[in-house]
Amino acid sequence: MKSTYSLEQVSLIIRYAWEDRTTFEEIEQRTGLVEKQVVEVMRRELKPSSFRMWRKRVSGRVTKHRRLLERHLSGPSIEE
Amino acid sequence: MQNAIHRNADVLVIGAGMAGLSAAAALRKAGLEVLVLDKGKQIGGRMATRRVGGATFDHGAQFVTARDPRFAALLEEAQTAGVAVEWCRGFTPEADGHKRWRGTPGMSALANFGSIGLEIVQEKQVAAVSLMGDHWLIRMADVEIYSAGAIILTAPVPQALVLLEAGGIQLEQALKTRLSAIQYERCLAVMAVLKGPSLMQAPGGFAPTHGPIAWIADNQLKGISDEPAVTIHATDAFSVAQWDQNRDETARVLLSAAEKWLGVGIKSFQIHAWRYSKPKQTDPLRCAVVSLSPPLLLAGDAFAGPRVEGAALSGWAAAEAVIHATRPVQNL
Repeated sequence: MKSTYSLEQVSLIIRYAWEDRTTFEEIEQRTGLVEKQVVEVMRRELKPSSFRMWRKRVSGRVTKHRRLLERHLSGPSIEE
Repeated sequence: MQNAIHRNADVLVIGAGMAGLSAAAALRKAGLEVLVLDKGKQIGGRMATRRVGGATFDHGAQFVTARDPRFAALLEEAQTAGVAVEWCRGFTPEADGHKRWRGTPGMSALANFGSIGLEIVQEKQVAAVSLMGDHWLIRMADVEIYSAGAIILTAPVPQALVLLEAGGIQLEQALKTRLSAIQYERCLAVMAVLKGPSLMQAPGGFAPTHGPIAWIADNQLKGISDEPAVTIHATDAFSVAQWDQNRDETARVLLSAAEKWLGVGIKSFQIHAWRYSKPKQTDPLRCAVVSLSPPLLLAGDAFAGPRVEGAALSGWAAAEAVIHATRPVQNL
């Protein structure tokens, strides 16, 4: 697991992390960082109050998590 | 580079079958500019009807059922428009009472009804989908290039994956595993014009429990053909085994297996090969979100259930995802 990132990498990670409709899965595809690692970068780089604001904004947001979105889009099962 | 792009669209829907048409209609209703591409000469995908003289055949999907209220409402609308009617309430003497609908004059009429108001480019085959900044570039088999802010891909999943791979789009491992597992049955479909009425009984559909035939339908009893005409669907096992054999000989094998239900001579026949006739596995979710910024979704009957209804529900879900991704952010 990489622990240091260049300035550009960090600013890109922060941008993707703040984007409401860039899923963590997409961030992983683009940066190689899984959600937990993104959270760590944000915790380290943001002021505590900003970090808390960000966590509040992304937690449970369906457009931030592919699986949540897919479940949100899937109504009740229509099995016979 | 810009001048090499032939068309731009807010949303590009690939495939004008039930999933693609449903998605496109929902997006258009939401005020988005949608363009639908289809590689076929006819729209509708497996909602297919063929005419041979006075004979009419539904050679793909045979009937439609509705469990979901939104889809049931769409069928009611189609009925009011005169393109859908009840076929029957079951195919065995102990009919289950569940309504089976058919298109009128054939299944393709339902697809045509669903295409009203949509811009569709036919005989346009996609070769690759790639990402360019914040939008998608779509390379066609004829080397034209389209650009789109969002894509809903409704080709059978294995074909959709080929298009993504050709454009260098990497799927996250969990999604790749999930989508790669989706396989489809094959179906060789024989359409035979008969010299007289068949021996089949109303309502004219029958699913043999063994032998090479999975389904046989009398299109005259069904009410769509003036002349006696049957559609025979081979089983997946038989279709796979015979896939590379001479198609006319295969059709004759199926016709002789059907003799006891026909009881009359054959005037002429045709065969159609459905490489992707029915998904063997159904994904538990209604669509797959490959990307959300910009949106790229996979939809089709492999997602919401291997039925016409499932395709519509899947198309609607994918459209909703695109709408989520394009509308101002709400707290979801």
